[in-house]
Amino acid sequence: MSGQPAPSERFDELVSRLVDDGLSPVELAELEQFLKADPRRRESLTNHLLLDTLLQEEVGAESLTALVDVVTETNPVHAEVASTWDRLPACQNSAETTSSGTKTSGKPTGWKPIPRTRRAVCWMAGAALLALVAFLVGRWDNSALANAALIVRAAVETHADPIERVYLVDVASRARVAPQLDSESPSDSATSNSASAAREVRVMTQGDRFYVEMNRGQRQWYWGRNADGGVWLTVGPRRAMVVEADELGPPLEYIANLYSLNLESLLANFLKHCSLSRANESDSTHVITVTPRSRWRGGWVKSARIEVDRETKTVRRLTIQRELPQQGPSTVTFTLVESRPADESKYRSEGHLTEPFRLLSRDSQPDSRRELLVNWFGSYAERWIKSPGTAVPTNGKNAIQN
Amino acid sequence: MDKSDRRLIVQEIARHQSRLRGFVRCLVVRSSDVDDLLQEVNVVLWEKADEFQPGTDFWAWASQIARFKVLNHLRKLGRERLVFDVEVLEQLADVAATKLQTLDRRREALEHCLKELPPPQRQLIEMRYASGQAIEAMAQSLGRPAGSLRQTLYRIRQALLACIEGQLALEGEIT
Repeated sequence: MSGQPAPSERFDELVSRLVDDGLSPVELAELEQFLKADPRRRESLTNHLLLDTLLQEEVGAESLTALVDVVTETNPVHAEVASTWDRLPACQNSAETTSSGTKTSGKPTGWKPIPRTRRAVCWMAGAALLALVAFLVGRWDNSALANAALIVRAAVETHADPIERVYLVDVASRARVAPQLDSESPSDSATSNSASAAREVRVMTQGDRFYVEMNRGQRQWYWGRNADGGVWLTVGPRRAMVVEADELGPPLEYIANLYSLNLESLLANFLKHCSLSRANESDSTHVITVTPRSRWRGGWVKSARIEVDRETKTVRRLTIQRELPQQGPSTVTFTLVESRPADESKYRSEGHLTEPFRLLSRDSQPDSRRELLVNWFGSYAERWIKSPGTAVPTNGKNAIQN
Repeated sequence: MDKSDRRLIVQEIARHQSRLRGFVRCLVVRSSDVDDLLQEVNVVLWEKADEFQPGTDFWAWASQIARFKVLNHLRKLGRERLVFDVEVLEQLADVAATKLQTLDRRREALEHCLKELPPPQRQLIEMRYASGQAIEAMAQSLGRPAGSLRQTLYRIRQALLACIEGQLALEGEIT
C-alpha cells in the first residue's frame, strides 16, 4: 500500500486548501487536472466556493453596508446641494463671504466674489426684510406662541405612552466625515450609489429610547445607543458589537448623531431652549416651527419643524436641520408610519439576535470588531473605531444632547 | 438613459452584489482577489448601464458582462498570478452561472442547516468566518494541527452542502 492519498481524498484536500488557505502553482496545476477530467469535480468545487461566499455573508461578517450607505449617500446629495447652491441668487451666496472677501470652507467650486455695489444692495434688502419680520413678530398674538408650547407638551405626554412609534427616516446631508467617498469618479459613484440605492431606515421609539432598523434588499441591521452614548449594532443574526462612546470614530459618530431620536428629551429641549410658533397648519395637523435661542448649542439644531396630529397629539413628522461640528449641515426628516405595542427586548442588541450569539465589545475581542469592519469595507472603515491609544473617555460628550 | 433608469440600474447592481461576488469567487484562486475584481465588475456594469434594456432580465445581462470582464482580466494576468487556465475558467463560469440562479434559495437553506449543526461544529464555523481568522491562527489558538483543522472544516462544509441539497430537494428544486 503506497503513501499516496486516493484521488478523491487528494481532490478534497486541494479544495480545502483553496478555500481556506491558498494553493501553490504545483497544487493549482494538479487541481486543474482533476477539474478538466471530471465535470462532477467542477460542480463540487463550485459548490464549495459558493458555500464559502454564503458563509462569509451569513456567518462571517454580514456586510455593514447599510451603515456605509448612510455615509456614501452624501455623495449624490453633495452634488445636489452644490447644484442647488449654484442656482441660488447671488445675495444668498454672499452670506458665506467673510469680511475680507475670502470664501469660507465648504463652498462649492465655481464660486465668485460678488461686486461690492451688488453686495450693498443685498444687505439693504436683507435689512429691510429683517425689519418687516420684526414688525410682524411684534404683532403676533402671544397666545399663539403659548399654544405652540402646549401642543409640544401634549406631544411629549403622548410619546410617553407605552406605545412604540415607527418613523421612516430621510436624510439630506453634506457630510465632511468621509471625503474619500465624495469622489465623483465613475468607480466611486458606481460603488457608492449601488450600495446606497435600496436602503431604507426606520427608527423605533418609545419614550426617550430608540433603535434603528436599516434595510437593504432582504437584509436588515439594527443599532441603537446605550445610555452612555456608546453604539451597539448587530452584525448578522448571531453577532453584535458595542462601540463605546470614547471609541467612536468620526464616520460612526456622525451616523449615530444623525439618526438618534431621543424624542422625549428632544421635545423637552425644544420647549426649554427654543422659540416655538405655529404655522401653515392643516385640518389634521398642528405645525410648529422651532428656532433655537442663541444660547442653546447642545443639539446643534439650526431649526426644526414638528407636525403634531390634532386628534392624537402624536408627532407625525419631524424635520431637523443641524450643523454638526466638523460634519457639515444635515436635514433629517422622521415620518410616522406605524404605532404598535413596544417590544422591550428590541431596545438592546440581544433582542435582535438568535441563540447562540456573540457580543463583541471592548472587553471581549476588541480587535475583532475593527478587523470585521476593515475586512468588509476596506481600510477606511478602520476609522469607525478609534485606535486604543487615541480613545479618550468622553462620557458620551460627543453625542448630540437631545 | 434617463435619471430614473440609471437609478434602477444602480438598484439592480446593489441587489445582485451577492450573486456577482459568488460568480467572481468561483473563478479566482485567491479569495483576497475577490473584492478588487468585484469592484471592477461593478464599474463596468455602471459604465455599460446605457446598454441595459429596462424590463429585461438584469441578471442575464449582468452575468454576461461579469463573465467577460472576469475572464478577460484573469487571462491578462496569466500564470504568474495563480489563475486557472482558460479552459477551466470557461467551464467553471458555466457551472457557477447555473448554480447562482438558486443562490437565494441556497442562502435560506444554509440558514436552516447552520441551526442543525452540532454546537462544536458551529463554533468552528463561527471562528473561521466570524473573526476571519486564518487556519494557522485558529490551529494555534485551538492547539490543533492545521491540517487536521482544515480537514474538519472541510467535512463540516460537506455536511452543510449535503444539508442544503436536501433542503432544495425537499422544495422540489433539485439542482
